[in-house]
Amino acid sequence: MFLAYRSLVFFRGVHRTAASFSISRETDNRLIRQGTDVAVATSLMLDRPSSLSLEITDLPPDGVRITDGTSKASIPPHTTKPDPLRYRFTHYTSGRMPFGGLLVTFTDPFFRTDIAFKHGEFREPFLLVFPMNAFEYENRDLYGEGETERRTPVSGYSIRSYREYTEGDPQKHIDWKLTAKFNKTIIREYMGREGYEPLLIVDLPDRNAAMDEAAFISMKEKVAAVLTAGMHRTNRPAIVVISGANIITLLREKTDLQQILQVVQDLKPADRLFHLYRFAETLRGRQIAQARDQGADGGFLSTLSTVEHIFSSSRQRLLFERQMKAALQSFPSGDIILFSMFEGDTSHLKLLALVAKEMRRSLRVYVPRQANAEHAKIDHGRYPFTSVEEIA
Amino acid sequence: MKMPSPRLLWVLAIIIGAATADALAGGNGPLDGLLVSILLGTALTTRAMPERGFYLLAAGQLLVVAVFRSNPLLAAVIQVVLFAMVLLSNGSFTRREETGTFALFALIIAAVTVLAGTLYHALMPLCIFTILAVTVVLLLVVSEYQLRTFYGGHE
Repeated sequence: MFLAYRSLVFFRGVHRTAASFSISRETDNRLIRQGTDVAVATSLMLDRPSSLSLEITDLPPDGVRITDGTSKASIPPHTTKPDPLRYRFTHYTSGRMPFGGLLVTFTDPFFRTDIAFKHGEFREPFLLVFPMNAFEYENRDLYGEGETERRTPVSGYSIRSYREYTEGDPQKHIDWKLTAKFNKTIIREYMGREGYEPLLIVDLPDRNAAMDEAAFISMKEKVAAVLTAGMHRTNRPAIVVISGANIITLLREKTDLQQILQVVQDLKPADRLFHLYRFAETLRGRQIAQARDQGADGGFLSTLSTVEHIFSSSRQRLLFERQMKAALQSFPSGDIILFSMFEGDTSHLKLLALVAKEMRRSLRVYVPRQANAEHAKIDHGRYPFTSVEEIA
Repeated sequence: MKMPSPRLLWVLAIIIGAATADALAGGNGPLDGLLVSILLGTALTTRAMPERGFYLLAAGQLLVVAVFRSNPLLAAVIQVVLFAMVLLSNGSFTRREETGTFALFALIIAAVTVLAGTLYHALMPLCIFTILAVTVVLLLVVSEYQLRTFYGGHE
């Protein structure tokens, strides 16, 4: 009976104290770059003093390490305004980061309970952490424009080729030196110039396969870096998230960088409902290997290759190809930047490269350095990417 | 020599007085004296211990049981005083509300003790107390869960 009585007193005390909590958390900066220190001062006020002993732990955002001070304190009974908690932490992840809340342990001589306050004011303020690694664009000026092989309404400055003059060509493009040399009118063809609004494709790893966690985090950081850099030029970056031959989501309408970075932060390995089972390789490779095993001569292999080419050119397109083609058509200019771990079945990447090639779009692939070393063996004949780069 | 605190002196005086009253009324006589000695010995030997209240409560239970056989109401008084001592040693009773709640609890204890003194069977009270104890434990679990979800919020 005594314990029942004390439990009643205890939980009543916890209720009274918890209802009277209010928190005020200040940081020296809310817009920070990844890897920099943030100073935090958390003040707690209790309108109704408690006879319970309290131990409070300020929960910093995820992905941080406390570098100075402590986020824990004990509050003796009947204290209304304890000393503020002061500490510093370093952020190692990027994105929109709320605080974790406040963990309070209520103790009396007979009972003890923990309550994690994780709502509203207890999670404020939100920090916006920008990625540390900047993303370098190739052949782009400060305004994000660059030259392209394609003909565009606005010409670039570099010369793409020379050809003979035909009626209607602008006379100011005539190259007089070459004209005199070859005794026929030669004009210069200039490179095109286009704005840079890259389409990002993020290939998430298979949730049911082994994965290098560090490599995946590194990849996400780089995606965030591209988006942060891209937001200076376009306020609506385009991101297609795929996992194998499955389109997970298409982000186009989000304009708030914080929301976009949060989306990137929340990316995680996805279930692959549809698999290609290395279909593109088996069609040709297996048949040729079989034929070789059976001692087929060069003529037979050549005929086999021709037949395969004819059939493959008229084959019905896969749903994934059609979807990706539609996605690329809705973003008609700019490079395609593909981030992939390049693990497991990569047939979808080959298909993607073929679609990009067909649409005359450059596809730049970025693979985390820590990821599977398979990407080092990428055969540019089989995977017609514009470039493949490792990211640190 | 470190003297006991005035509060504890009051508590011990009440307990000794109750035990003496029980002995004079023809209760346990020498047994009461022995048990009071145990209580005083515990009070002296646990002076420097942080959980002194609990030791005294445990030592006093023997006296409560002995007195209960002859005078249940007096046993209830000793029990309530022992509980009060534990709470005092932990810094309770600083608010009027706490004192009022404890007074109500003391009245309930006294009523239950007197009622128990009129019963001559152990099984039924044991069953009732077991059911009450299980119910209280369940209520505690539920109330703790409610507190956590109400103040914890959704992540």
